[in-house]
Amino acid sequence: MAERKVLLERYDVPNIWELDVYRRHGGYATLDGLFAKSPTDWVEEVKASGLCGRGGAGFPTGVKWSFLAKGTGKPTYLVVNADESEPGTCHDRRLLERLPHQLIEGIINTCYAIDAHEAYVYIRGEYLEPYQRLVQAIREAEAAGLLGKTVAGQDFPLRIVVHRGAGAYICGEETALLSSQEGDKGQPRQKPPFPAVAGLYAAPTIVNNVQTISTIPHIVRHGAAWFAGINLAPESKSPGPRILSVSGHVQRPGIYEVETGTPFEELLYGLCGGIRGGHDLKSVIPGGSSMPMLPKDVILQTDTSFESIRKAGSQPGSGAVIVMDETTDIPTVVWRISRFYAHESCGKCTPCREGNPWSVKLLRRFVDGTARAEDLRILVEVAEAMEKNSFCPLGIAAAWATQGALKHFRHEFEARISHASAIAAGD
Amino acid sequence: MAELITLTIDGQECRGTKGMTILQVAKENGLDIPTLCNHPWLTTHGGCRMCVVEVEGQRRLVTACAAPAEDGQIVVAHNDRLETLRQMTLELLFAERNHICPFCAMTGVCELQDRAYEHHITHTRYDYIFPVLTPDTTNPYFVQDHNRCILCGRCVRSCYEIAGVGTLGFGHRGSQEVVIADLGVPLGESSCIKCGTCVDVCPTGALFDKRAPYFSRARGLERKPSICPDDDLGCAMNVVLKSGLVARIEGWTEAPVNGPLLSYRSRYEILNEPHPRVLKPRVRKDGELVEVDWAEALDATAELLAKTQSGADGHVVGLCSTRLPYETLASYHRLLAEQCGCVDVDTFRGAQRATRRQADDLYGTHKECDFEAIQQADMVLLVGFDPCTTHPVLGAWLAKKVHHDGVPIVSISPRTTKTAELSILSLKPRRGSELAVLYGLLGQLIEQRNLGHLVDRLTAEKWRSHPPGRVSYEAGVEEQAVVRAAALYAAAKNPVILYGPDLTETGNPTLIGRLWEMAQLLGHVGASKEVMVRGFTTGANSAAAEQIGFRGADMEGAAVVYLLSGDDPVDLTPQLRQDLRDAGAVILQSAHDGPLVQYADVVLPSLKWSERGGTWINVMGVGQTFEACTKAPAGIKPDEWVLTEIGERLSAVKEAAHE
Repeated sequence: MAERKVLLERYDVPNIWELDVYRRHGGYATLDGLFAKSPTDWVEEVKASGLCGRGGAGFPTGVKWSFLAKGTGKPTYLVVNADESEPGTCHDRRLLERLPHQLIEGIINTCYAIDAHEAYVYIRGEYLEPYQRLVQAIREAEAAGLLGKTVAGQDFPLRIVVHRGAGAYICGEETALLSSQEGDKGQPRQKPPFPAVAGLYAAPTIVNNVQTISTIPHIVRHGAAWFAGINLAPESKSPGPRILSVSGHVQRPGIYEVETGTPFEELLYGLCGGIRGGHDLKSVIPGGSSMPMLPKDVILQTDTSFESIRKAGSQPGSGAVIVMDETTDIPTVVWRISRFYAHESCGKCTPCREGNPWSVKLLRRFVDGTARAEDLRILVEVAEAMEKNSFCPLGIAAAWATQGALKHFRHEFEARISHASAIAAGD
Repeated sequence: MAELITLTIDGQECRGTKGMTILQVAKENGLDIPTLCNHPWLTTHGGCRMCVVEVEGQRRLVTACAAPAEDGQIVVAHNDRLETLRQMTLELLFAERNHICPFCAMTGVCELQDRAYEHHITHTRYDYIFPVLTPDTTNPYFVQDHNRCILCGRCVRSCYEIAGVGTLGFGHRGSQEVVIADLGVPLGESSCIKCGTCVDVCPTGALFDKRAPYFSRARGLERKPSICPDDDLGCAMNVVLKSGLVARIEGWTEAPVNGPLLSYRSRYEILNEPHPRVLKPRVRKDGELVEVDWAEALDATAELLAKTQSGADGHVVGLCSTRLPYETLASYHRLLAEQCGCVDVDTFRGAQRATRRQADDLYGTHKECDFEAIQQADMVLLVGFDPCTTHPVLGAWLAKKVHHDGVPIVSISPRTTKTAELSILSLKPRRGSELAVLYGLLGQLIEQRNLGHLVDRLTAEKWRSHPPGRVSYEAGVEEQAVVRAAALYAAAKNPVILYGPDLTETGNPTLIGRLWEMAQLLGHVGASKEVMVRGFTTGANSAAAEQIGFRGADMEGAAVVYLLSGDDPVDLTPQLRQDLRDAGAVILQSAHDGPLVQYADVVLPSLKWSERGGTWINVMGVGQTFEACTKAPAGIKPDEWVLTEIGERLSAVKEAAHE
């Protein structure tokens, strides 16, 4: 089986980030038919396509759009989440760098559907080249009359503002992103109200991921039925092509666009050329470091559809597939992931702010083999407190890393409890 | 009418109204859900995670402080699982920084400590982190000790939501997070207005009064409402007493004017007494003030007053403080006006009211705008007024308007004002040239909104002769500033003009007349017919003094000056010094042994603010009555008793003379 290239179809075209090249390859063709239908028709179309958000939570995009508060007297905003910071994820970067016009086309389509005249792109601060390409593309589009007071000659004003983040993982969480965009400290906000009711500047706001918005032109162009058909798993309700960033111990790591329902076995052993150096597969994190890891026997029974991954006990997340072979030490992996979350915790809620440093210190003992017998119990309890009680998904994700590892690889942790401590505890 | 709802919390049927949170419903129904970051004055934060509850049908736990209560909801607020989570949260908090209670200034008044006892936290299973965090003692009134901080964000929210300044914020992130002032400067060097609201809301010892650590513990404290005697806003506050002594001042939720917001003056400065108390009456004998008993001092006072009254060697002048309650002011006025036949009765700084009175005479009486209108205003013009200095609570409201709603403030004052920092535009005319600026503004307003037909010929000539160029030349302000100030005022839908002591003390009623005119002009084209102007004065009870009939005093050739200053830190101007020196005799009724004493021939002890009860009427006419909070030291008699005694003696003298 091969890749199913839709978003990445034009990826290799030389200079595709230039407007005229993009146009020669069918770019902005959606604008011809877009304005013929009413905005609500497009919301229904996207709903019917079954497109689910590619950012992490996997919420149906069309349904999200339909939640927008009406008659508030305030403008509606579209915010594109380009703060790609989930460890292991690197495909939004490529979409921004090489196909900025695809994103702009998607923004125009989306803004028409949700009746927004102002769109913001919140881009990760470290993404300098993607930022430059995007800004350049916006200027080109403005000069060509695709943005500005009118879009493609239609009575539809649209402005795109690009805002650079300052290097905080939490700003990928939609409400923290909005706080940061407004100029406040990036900390998540209480929900409800959801952004669709009171988001950016307390106005109704849709926050979508780069990949989600880049998918919209293809749905507009080919229709919902076509999109819903890109689905190998008949029971899956999350169709369409999805880009996965595969990293770790495979022969050919990289970004792959595959049809929903592609088995992981096919992805890892087919497209990625198998595990490096003839080693055996040990574990895979299917959706970025935020999601629980799955052991070999489980992952090889799983496919890339959202339903299959959830059934296996993990989450599709941002689509970062992190592959670990048999040489990997699981306590070290979890310790490293926990360090990331301890560093990135925003500090708003107690369980995440304090639970993460606790976990790091406890996990370090497992890495060093100096853990006490009760440390495992405390580790479980801290993870439980974080998972149940954190304000936003960051704390929950941090707990999942520990919980996933303990579920499948508990023996590796138990083996690190120091002998003396085990004797003292009477085990 | 709010929709009534019924929900079940821990098996108990609870009633509430739509829009309440689960926590509010629980509290109203007498159920306890533990909290830390929640505070009734503030918006919800949801960060501490103490109030998490289970709601039937919801996959995840919800925070009771934020979750809206719904009809028919089934909520579990207490079970083993929640208890374990709460214990874990507390354990994490205790290990986070230095929460060793025996060494904390606020032990006994700490919510973290209370929660720990409630949830049986005896120790934490993990090592204390003990980060190195230096307490910030640069604020003159309170200390910020990060070691006791649990990052609940109450101070940060109160600083923005109540005080309006937003000085405090979170710096850094995760477990490194700290509450910082501005961009991480010491509090004492920051934009902090020192209102102390953050100290009121802090649940732990992370923020505490310098004056009252250790001393103001929860047990045996008594709280009595009182009023800040400093300005005419009528700010009420809670006086916290321990063993009959004032421990500290707190914001009072039910304060009708200011709510929980206080200024640094009413919260802290009021507790500082720069001079010792006058404990015994004194009479000047052979050039020296000698302590005497009450009878002798009162006799001497009555004698002085009676002599002047009967003789032809001058008149009696009465000056008293506007910090006194209505009742005392009235008694004082009655004694002097009725019994001494004195027409020269006024308050200190009476010029402020006199100017306003003259404006009334010249331009007809106007009903000025109320607080409501100030809250609704979309543009504020300040003339000779620096509320951030003289009326800090009003200053904080204006800061809130600027920071929350982006309302433009234009300030016109010959002095450098603190409020200028809040202003979008600040005009600093040369002293004495204010009128030129006002004519300039008026002219611009008429021109910009085309209102020429609404003004009479005389005014028209005046403003035509004051184009921006001439204003600029006369007043030393930029031409463009005048044009822009007028444009901002003309463009607003509900502008208000607030003037203050700096304007009224000029003694020029025409200035006030021009302000009224400006407001009226815009009133003609807008909806509002009321004059959106309001003057403010210093002195809590100025409005009462005006009602009672304090009408100004001529100090020239006074035989006897009777000063009732109480604890008023009277501004001893060169003029007042001279007048007191020239007076035949000076009677001083004062709480403190201050600089006025040197001029006095008779000194009578008086009360200070906390020992007084009575009624105060604020600038908008809102009356508030309070009882005395503390007892006066032994030997000090209430002012009204003293006034009555003097009155009786005067009557006796009169009767004797009659016979």
